[in-house]
Amino acid sequence: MADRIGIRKAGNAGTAAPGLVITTGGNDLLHTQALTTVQTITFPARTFIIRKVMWYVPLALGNVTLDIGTLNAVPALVNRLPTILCLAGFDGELREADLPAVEFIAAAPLAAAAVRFDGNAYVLSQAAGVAVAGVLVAIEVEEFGA
Amino acid sequence: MEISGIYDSGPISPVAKIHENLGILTEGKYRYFNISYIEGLPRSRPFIIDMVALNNAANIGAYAQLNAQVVTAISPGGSDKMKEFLHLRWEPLDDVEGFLFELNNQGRYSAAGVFASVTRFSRDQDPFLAATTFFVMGVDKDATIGAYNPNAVVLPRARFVFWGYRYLVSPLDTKPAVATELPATSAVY
Repeated sequence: MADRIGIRKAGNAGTAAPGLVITTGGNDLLHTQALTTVQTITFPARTFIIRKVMWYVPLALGNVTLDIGTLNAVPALVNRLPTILCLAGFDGELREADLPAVEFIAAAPLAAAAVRFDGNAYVLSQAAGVAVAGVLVAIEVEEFGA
Repeated sequence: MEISGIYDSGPISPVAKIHENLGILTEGKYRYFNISYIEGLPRSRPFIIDMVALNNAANIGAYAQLNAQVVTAISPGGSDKMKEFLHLRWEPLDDVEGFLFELNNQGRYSAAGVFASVTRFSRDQDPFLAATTFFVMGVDKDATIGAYNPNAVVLPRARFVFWGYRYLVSPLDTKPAVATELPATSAVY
């Protein structure tokens, strides 16, 4: 992957403003993929790799976990990164060197339902296995394609 | 006939020298001109065009396209005796794709039925953007730019920057013995 040159940008989804997501307790969009439609067929025109994740957990929430992944055909969150444990009252970040080059890509139209991922990045915040709202998350992505 | 080399990989440079002749494909055939003057159009702020602003739009929607004549910066002037001829390259500054039309409906950079675009990735394989070279000749033959937002989100800006050269050319009545023939200008039928 390293020899490809991509576009670096902040995640394009956001609760407060584009790029900054405040979790709601559901699967919250972090970044939406660029798609293209040619003669009724929608193609994943680009893919992206998450290059940085930053977060802040308000003290009142207690420790939380962040699951970052994409949605399958159900739709349900499918982790693409290991679960991240975040301490209450602290901020934290994972940089490019810490993150695996997991490439987010949408499924082809005829892919089997089980692997029909939408290719967008989502985050789910939970405390002791129960979804919680209010964690601040921002990501940086590198998009590849044309 | 001279070889123009306008798509050679490298920085933009004039296709011919002052007092040399140009053959320009326009209005269906090559027409011949003598160059009186050349000056540079450096890549700079006045040559940045925001297609959102040019359309008086609030933004460019997800997967939406905005088209406009790029009249503010790159519409050349001139008269019957002396015409302006612009030689330009361009690229988007925002994450949008640029389509070029000349005479509004003449799509450029195209194979049959498929139009290539200039994107933020175009520099990867073409560092000087030689393949984006285009020409604008005379009055009422402006370039129309289409900006396409490939993102699933609205973008507030769709800026493109242009740079290149401006030539002043005088039409010749007959085909000269030596001329640099350019395979591209407005209205290639």
